[in-house]
Amino acid sequence: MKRFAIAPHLIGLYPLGMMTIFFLGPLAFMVVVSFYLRDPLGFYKVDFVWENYGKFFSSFYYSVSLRSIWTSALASLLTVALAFPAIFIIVGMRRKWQLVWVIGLLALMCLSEVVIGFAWVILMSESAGIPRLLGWLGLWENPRSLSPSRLAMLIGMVSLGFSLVALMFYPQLSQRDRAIEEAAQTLGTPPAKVFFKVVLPIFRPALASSLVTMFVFYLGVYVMPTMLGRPQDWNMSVIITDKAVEQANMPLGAALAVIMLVFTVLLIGGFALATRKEGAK
Amino acid sequence: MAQVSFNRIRRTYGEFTALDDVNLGIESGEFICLLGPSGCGKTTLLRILAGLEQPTAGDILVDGADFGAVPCHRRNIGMVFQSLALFPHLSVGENIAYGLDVRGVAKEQRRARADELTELVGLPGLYDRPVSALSGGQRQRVAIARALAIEPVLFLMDEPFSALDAGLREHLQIEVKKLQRKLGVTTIFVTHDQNEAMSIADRIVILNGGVIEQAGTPTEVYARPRSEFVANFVGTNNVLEVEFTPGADVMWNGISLGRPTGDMASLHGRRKLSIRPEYLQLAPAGTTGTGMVGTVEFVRLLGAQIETELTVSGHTIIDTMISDRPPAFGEGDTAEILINLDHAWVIPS
Amino acid sequence: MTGMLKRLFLWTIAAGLILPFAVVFGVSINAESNIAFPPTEFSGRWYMMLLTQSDWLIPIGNSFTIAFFAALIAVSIALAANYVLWRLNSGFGRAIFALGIGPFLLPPIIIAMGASVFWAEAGWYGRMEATIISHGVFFVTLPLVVISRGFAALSDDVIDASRIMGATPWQTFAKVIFPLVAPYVVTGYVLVAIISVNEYLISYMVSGFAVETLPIRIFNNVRYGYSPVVASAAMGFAFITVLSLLALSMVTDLLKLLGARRD
Repeated sequence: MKRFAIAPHLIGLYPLGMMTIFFLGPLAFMVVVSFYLRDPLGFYKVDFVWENYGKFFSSFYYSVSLRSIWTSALASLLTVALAFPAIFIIVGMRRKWQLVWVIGLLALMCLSEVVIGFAWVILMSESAGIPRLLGWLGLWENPRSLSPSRLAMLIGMVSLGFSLVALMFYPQLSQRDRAIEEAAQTLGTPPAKVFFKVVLPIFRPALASSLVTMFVFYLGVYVMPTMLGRPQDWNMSVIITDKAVEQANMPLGAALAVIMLVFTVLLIGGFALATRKEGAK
Repeated sequence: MAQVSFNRIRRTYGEFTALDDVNLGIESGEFICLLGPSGCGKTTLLRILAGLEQPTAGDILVDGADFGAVPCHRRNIGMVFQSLALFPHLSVGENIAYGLDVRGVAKEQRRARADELTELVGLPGLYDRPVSALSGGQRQRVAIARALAIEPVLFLMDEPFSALDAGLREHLQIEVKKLQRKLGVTTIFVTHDQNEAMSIADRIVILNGGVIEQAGTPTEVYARPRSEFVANFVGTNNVLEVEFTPGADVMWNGISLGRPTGDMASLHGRRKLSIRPEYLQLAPAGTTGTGMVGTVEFVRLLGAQIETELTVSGHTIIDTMISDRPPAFGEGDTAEILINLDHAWVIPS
Repeated sequence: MTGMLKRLFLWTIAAGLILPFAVVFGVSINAESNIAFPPTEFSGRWYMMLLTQSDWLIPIGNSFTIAFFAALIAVSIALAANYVLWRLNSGFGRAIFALGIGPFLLPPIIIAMGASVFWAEAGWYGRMEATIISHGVFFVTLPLVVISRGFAALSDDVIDASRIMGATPWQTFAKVIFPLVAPYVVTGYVLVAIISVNEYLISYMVSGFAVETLPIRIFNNVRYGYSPVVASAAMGFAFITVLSLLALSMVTDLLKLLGARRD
């Protein structure tokens, strides 16, 4: 029988306390505030009303929700479809070139949404970017700014999430047993088909989980839609921030965030359950 | 069943030469072991034959036809990889039937063939089992069945048993050998374990530093090593640098080893003599009058044999004898070493 | 043929990732005061303005202060959580670890909203300490995962050896465990610091109106009519980020830390 170790448990109280108070605490309190009443002069008044949730059931929030889901789904699909093959090729390169790519990707992952968004704003602007270049080349007679637009927003989102997906797959693809692909070749698979016949099926669970992760990630982006999208492209995150900060309606912002939280938790939980079932089979 | 011939195969990686002018012919139905220390080029040679790597120079003929231009997936080769490389997303049966699937064989026929092979390798009824649920030995068998399912012209194995424990490894070695005899498929097996090579190969090809040191039957490489490397690499051995003078005794460090007879009698000059430990005999000091006297450094029991390590003027000599009685010598004892030159082999220089 | 296609694909992606910054760089060294590319006359004036004007210097100072302390908090939590999990490997340790993964799984807006109401209630809304603690707690996932790789590489034999030779648990930690996981800790610290400097949404919703950070400053500037100083600030960000990572790659094996195959 092992003696109960006191010291590690005491040390454990520190991360446990910090995460409980400053991570779970705010989430729990957000749920509480979502039932409060708005106070136009301060933050909120203590109360218990369903009014904030009631507002969600309107055609405006319905279309914002659908748009958020659709945009996130499209962006996550595009990102994974680009990042997975790219990293697959990169891990086959020499270590020196891998390092160049990894530093570049890490830099992009760390770089502010604001900075990446700003860079795309410039690149798509009439005065300094692609439209100007096309106009100068004579390919576009009347060059006009490409942003804000839905396409600009999607491009911004993909370039924001690309590094994240790429770095998630980097260890898995780097450590994979390459002999499996060689085995497929010796058994008669043409090299061009090995990727689809063997690599993709093996990574199917990992691809699915990265799609879900990125979907959730894109659900919460704020800067790209505001910088590169038009008001009719804005997602739920922008609306929440707008309500909570600009319109000083914290209870409504909190209620909307709680709805998104429930949706996210259900999605992740459902996905985890589905993969467990698949694993048991 | 196919004949293979490697002609002047060379493979370099930048400055490093993995294979240097390798020539080797393999008969149809032969079981060949490529044996050597790590980095000797044995795996590279196998991968070149499989088409997974291209030689820098030289060509490969299979049944007289040039194999070099044939891409890997058209070579019709069965290969068992060191990591086995089973497809983790497929079941046992789907793994075995994979090669037939890519060849467009109909589903029922694939199933029938996979069942036949699971039977052959001793895994009946496991068609639907996921490969992750198999034991180490079972996974080996799936890998072997998968490679054989396509009726390959050549069967290649790259250190397939290196991750298994000794008992299971021996068991599978015997099984593979029996299976190969039954099917008659030309087989090339890469290993760094000389016992494994000795026990399964028809012919052993010993590589060192990218060069073939010797190719021969297990008996040949053991009894008549062509180089000092082979003499030391295969089995335990004593390699002594001796001086031959026609009409006089063979001398080693000023000690007489006796008068040579037969072919050895006409030799002269410095040569390397290989003499296996089992052909040495030990006697108590002062009983035989031989000049070769050693001090016992270490004695150990190896099951059927007793191995005694002695030093004679700074050189280590190993002796083995049948362990039908307790060791006659202990550490620190002095013993006389008797050499029978009829069992010694002069390494060609 | 396929090799060509692969290269083309990668170059396209590299171009898509780098091109925006190339244009921003061009704008940042252009002497003209309206944003234009290609530059006609080169000048470093926008960088000078960035480094001399107080309405840029204050946000820069705020951002660095927040990053310095937030990274300390994140790494200390991550190190403690990993130590406990490694030492106990019990439900307690796993629960703490799972709690640390949480922030990564949720959309940032939810976290920002939660932090916003929490600090409003606690009365620290608009204070830098609030931003520091929130950053420290919410960016814990990355160092947690990175440091866990360090603990995974730690064999039990080494620890047993240390104990057999008479070391107390504390001595074992200080003399064996910490030196072995130190590169991972440093990497975690640098990554959190960089991410904190770059973060917008949480800073904005917790204390954006009072404590202006560099991303908030840039964002406001872009939204309400911008000058090329923004471009120089964005480039400054990019330079600092890449330089920190380059420095990191010199002291540690970055590829291994990120889980590359050993070869």
